[in-house]
Amino acid sequence: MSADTTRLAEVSVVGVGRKTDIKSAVPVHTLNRKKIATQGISDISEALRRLPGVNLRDYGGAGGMKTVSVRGLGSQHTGVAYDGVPLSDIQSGQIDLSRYSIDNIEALNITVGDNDNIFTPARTQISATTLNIAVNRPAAVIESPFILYGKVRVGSFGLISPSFRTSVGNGCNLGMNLNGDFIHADNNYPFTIRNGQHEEREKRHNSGINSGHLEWNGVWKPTATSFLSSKIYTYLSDRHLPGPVVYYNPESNEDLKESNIFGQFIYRLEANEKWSVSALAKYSFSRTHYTDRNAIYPGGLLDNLYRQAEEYASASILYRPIYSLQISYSSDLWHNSLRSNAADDSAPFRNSFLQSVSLKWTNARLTIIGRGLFSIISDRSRQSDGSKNFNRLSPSFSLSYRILKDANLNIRASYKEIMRMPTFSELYFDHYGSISLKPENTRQFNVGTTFATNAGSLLEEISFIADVYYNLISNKIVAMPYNMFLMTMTNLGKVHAVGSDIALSLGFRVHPQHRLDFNLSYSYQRAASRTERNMSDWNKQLPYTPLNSGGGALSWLNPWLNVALHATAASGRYSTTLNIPSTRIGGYVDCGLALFREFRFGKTKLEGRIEANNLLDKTYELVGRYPMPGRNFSASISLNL
Amino acid sequence: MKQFTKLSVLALACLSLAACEKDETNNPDPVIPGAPTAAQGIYALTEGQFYSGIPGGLDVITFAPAKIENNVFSRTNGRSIGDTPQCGVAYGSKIYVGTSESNTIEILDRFTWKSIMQIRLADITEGGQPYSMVADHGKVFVSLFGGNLARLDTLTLSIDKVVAVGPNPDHIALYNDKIYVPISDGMNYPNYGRTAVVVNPKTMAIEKTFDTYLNPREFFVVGGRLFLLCMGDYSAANPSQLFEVDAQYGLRKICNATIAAPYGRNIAIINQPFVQNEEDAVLEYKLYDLNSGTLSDWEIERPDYANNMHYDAEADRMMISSYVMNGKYPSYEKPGYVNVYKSQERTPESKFNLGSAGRVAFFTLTK
Repeated sequence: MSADTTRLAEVSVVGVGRKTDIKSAVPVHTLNRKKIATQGISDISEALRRLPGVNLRDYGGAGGMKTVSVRGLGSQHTGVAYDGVPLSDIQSGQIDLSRYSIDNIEALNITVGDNDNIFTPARTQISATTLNIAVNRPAAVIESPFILYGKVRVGSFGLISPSFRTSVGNGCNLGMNLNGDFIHADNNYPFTIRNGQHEEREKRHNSGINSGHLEWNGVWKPTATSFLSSKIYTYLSDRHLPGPVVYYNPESNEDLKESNIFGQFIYRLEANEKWSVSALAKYSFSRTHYTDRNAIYPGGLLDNLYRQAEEYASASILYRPIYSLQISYSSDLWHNSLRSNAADDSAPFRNSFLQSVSLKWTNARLTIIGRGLFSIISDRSRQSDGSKNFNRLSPSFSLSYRILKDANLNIRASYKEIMRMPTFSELYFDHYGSISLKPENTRQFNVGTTFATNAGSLLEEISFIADVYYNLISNKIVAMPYNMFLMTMTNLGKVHAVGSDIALSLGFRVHPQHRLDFNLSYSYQRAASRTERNMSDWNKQLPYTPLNSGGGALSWLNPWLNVALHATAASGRYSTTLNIPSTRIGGYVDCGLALFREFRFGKTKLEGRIEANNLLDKTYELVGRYPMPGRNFSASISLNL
Repeated sequence: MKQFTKLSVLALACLSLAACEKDETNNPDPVIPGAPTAAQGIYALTEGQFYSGIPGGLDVITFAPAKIENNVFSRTNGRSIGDTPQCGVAYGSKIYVGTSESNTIEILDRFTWKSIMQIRLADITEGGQPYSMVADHGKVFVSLFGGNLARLDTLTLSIDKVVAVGPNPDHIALYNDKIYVPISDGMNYPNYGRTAVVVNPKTMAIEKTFDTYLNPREFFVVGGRLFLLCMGDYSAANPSQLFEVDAQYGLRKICNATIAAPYGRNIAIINQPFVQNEEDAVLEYKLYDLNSGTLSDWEIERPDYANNMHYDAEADRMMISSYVMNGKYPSYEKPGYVNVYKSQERTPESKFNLGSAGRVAFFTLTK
């Protein structure tokens, strides 16, 4: 393999797969396009539930908001990156993942702590965990002379979702692609509501969604050791929100219109074998318009309009004094602002300046990585007197060691400290917010083992990942009653979380043309409040955090009709911090079946899929009073030229 | 014969209606175990915490013997009374409970607690969400947070009149045969309302609109005088205050207050304003003497974190509902409790654990 090829792999954040998961010094779990297809995953909600350690909050259906938290840390500790560049929502601190269609995703991967690639922007290190949504690989864009891919998916509850991807490259140094998707769904699915001794069959109302995304990517490789990539991303959605199920009152008139556009450039240059540099610039603008028609509001309408903007720049340098040692420095600067139509809009903005220094030493069996991230963050608003500054040095360390020279059996350990800045809602929202909030602090400890082999004729492939962890959060931002009318945010909580994540993957070649793949993920999470012993929630499991959860899929790949049987499951959870028995949300098992087959006509590929989800038609909830859809079906056909 | 039969049926119907009329308007108060008379007990409605999935409920407290029956509606009817029970009255042989999230009025038998009827207000008016109730002359008047005052006929058990009164009407009171409605405009932060309206209960016409202090929340009557609690805007500049309303609809400030209730010839007052910093926290218990017009400290054994209070004059009992504490903060998730104080005693005579969490709305049998 040439040095250049190796370097391209280094800059890519997309081509991660089993090898990365196994070799990594920190927990990494990846679902690539192939796994997504063969494991019967039909939407992003299903995909996220297959990743160990991930706890999904899904408000139900195709248009329901979806956020993830990992290992009991809360959704605001999960950073989300799109093609390696962080996304942000300064208002809520969490990214709604429902806007990303599974159809255009190359890979989803979750990284706990800092990943092994130290030549990344400093900002990629500011979250306890990072979910990366990979859509484009620069190299793949260039290497594709011409691709045209189209897919149409239809399904229960008025689902229709076309998507396309087209790519053209000269195979040498220039390429571009355009991809997009649209989704329409009525989402008026039936569900069963339990009311005391009674059970009633009802339907979701006001749940429809229309949303679409269009994205252009261009890559130019002026020399063999440099490239410039750019992206323009647009997203529009108009959805009705059904709200929580209310006894005796199905009425809901909430609407949410969202739009987001961002553009970014990334430039990388490997000046020589020792020096590489990278620069990144991004501008993002998003608009959120929430309305609720109800006579209780002035003029019968609650009309909240929010506009966010972000300007972001990053520069990184990588130095390899010797083959085994890499040193990188990265400096990031960005500005976030939020405006609203509220009469008391405080027009807050934040300037963030990060610098990180990372060292990585590696040989055939040992990898050691150390990082220091220095953050200077400054907030200002009309409410606050002058600016409010936070400075923090956050270290992280990780190592992995290959125990046996001839077997891919590794052990690993990692530690990371990081702070989470309060969101603008937590700081400035009416009486609810508190401008005196301090950042939350997290410390993460992890030890684990990984194993993979391709040996054997029947058991063709095996990989196994097991990690145990201990997380601590201090200064946790929680809403507490301040008097009998109001709640306000305060730095009160402490959380201790211990748990284990396990992933097992087996591939059996039962016949030259028949393969059985078995994938299993399991998580144990004991995440408890440990604020004060005299508090009622002492040692109580955090809301919406199941003790046991997991997923699995059994796929039979064959020349006739591929079959994937899959399931996700979680034990019961509580919606309250005190684990009040009446607020227990029951455990669930959601089983599904996918049948699919690909037909080839020369270079043209045609694939048909039929999927059934929630086969047992169980009504269950991931968020209290937001029932998930019962048994539902979808069919899709895709054409790849 | 056919005509006679028709007339007989009509006569019987009239008789039965007349009997009902008498029953509702004169409020015969048969002593039936479990259904407290005004002097025997009180109803406590807990609102739950809807967004955490905690249901509210109806509890019944009796003084002799001292006991509480929790969640009598759900235990009797096998279903929830609705999301966020907000207000109620016991009147005649029935109890009327308004729920704001479910937007219903549940009518139940006062003696058996069995549901008789559920009125879904969304079928009647766009501006629903019951917030407070009073009963008089065979009618139950309900302020609806969506901007209306509704009148429920206790004979037909139906809403016979709805009148628009203004944005977010709150706790109403009957005074001099009129209904006083505070127009809080409480959803219009920070531009809260500053008016109240007077409604004729017979015609349901607005007879008067007058100015108040910011964010009027609750009218109540004590000693033949009318008082108004206004919440202000939760700032130090415009704190929550208690006023007396004079005959010319002028307001005379009594003191700062966040909870107030009649207490014999006094008004019991709790003042616990919102503050940004914990070190600025204020908690005052006061008594306002109606005769002398003076304020004094209310020396009682205080509950942990009061959220409402109610005085039953016939039983001479003061009840203060409280959250339980979670460390130094009140818990909105755990069921709270009610301290019952006999006469003017400082220590509670009894303490009852409520069946559900949330703020409490008290009501007794309306005479």
